[in-house]
Amino acid sequence: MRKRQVQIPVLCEDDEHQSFALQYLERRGYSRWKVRLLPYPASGKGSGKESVRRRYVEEVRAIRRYCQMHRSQTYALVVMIDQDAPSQPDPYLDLDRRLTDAQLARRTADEHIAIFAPKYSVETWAYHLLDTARPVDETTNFSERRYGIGGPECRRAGTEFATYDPALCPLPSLVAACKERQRIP
Amino acid sequence: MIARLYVDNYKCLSNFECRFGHINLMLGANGSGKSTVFDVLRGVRAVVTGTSPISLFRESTLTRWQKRDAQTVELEIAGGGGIYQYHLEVEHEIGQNKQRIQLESVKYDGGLIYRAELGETHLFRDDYSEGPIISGDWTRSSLPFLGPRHDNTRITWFKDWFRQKLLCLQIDPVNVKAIADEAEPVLDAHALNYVGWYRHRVSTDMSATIDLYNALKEMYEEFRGLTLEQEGGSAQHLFARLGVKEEQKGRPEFVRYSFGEFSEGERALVILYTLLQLVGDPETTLCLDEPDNFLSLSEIQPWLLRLREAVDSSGSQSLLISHHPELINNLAPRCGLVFERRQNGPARVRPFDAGTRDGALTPSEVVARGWE
Repeated sequence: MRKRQVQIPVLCEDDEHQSFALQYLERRGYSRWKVRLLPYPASGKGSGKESVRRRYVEEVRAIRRYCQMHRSQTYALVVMIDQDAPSQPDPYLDLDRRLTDAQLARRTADEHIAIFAPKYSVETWAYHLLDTARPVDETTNFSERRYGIGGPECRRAGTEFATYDPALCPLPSLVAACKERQRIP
Repeated sequence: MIARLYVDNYKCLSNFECRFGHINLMLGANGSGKSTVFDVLRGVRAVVTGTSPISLFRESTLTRWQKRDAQTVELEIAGGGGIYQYHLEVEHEIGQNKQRIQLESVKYDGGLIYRAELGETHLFRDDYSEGPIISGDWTRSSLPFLGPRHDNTRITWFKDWFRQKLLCLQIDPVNVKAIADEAEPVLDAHALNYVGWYRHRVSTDMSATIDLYNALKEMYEEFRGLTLEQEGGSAQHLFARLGVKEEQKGRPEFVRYSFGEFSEGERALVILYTLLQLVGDPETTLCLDEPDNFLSLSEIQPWLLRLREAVDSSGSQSLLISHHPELINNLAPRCGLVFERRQNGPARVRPFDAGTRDGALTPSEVVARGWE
């Protein structure tokens, strides 16, 4: 029997990211067989982020080559990377710079490469998406246990994100992610 | 779910203790004791359900470097609204290959509900009051012979859990039969009677077949369904219907293939997706030894993600043994249990630790280097 081909590799920092992205894509109609979660590093503070940065270039190169070979624009790449601290570089600019450093063209507006970059952590988005009435900001660490946000909540938040209307969203990073959603075919 | 297992004097499990969560990945070198844990679980299930007295605790299973003639197994099972504690001591007559049950007991939330010692069995009611004392054969447990009553619902739950909710499998798709003479309520240790078991499931839960259809359809575009067809007498033969290509119009809309004509990997995958449905039951504990065997690389992750979700959402349990990078990358950081033995000594278990702190390595690479 012929199996379905992967259409969207997902590059993430950790398990919470993966849960969020997978549920979002499934809600958008992509089956598990079309999505490929790429492994993240085993441990180490900041290692997930560094791995995303490093692999991003390879994945963009691969997806561009594959689309070109197959004359198809149905393949996409989803990237999730946290913006942890104000001192850290803007992830969109940083990832773009890594492409140019590797002699690759910057991400274009019509390319199916979506970057979801929650400020602080994806738990912040989850905290808001699961109950939009709750007060939320991008400075509190919602990944702390007392907020009760973990893997299952991130999973549910991914589902909510698929249909979320950012009109009154208090989180600029989530508003930006909603724009990025449009890059997924 | 199994919360704790203690084993002493059984193969490489000597004074061995392990605690389990809802999902667990048992990893470690070959011969480190992972599959032995499943052997013990199968052995206890055989004792409790009476499918095989205590023959799974053969003399050859005694720890080689020990001189003691008694084996001990303790299991803590969370379920049925409380905590069950099972204790079994098997005594061997060395050189005779004879075993007997020295002591067997079951406690529920700390209170005794069953105790058998050297052939004398004390029964207790649900309110822990003493019931009858019966004499029996000390080479087998009395548990299989206890019928359900209004005042022994706890011990009945315990027995039913072993019979229906604990599955310990190492799937052997090479030898799975495509024809079943009868419906079989219990799947055997290698899933060889899968078709008979599937037959039983179809007859008892139609929704199970719909879920399986949807899962297989998601995986294979041309999949149209599984059918059981009469094969003389009471036997039934499992077939899969596959759609044909559009350019073959004028021909039938689908062709059928016997389950026996599937590749080993396809058979394994169908069995694994059927098993996923069991994990939706919060009382199920599904133990799988190397479920990735025979699967292609692209087939593992979608199944594994489904398993994780099913366990997370239902609160059931899965114990997996694997050396595969896909499983290690996905599960080890959260729920990896590393088995190890030093100099042919006793097996020991500890949580997975990525070891290296530079963070550049994936969990499977850490394991490949032995740095866990």
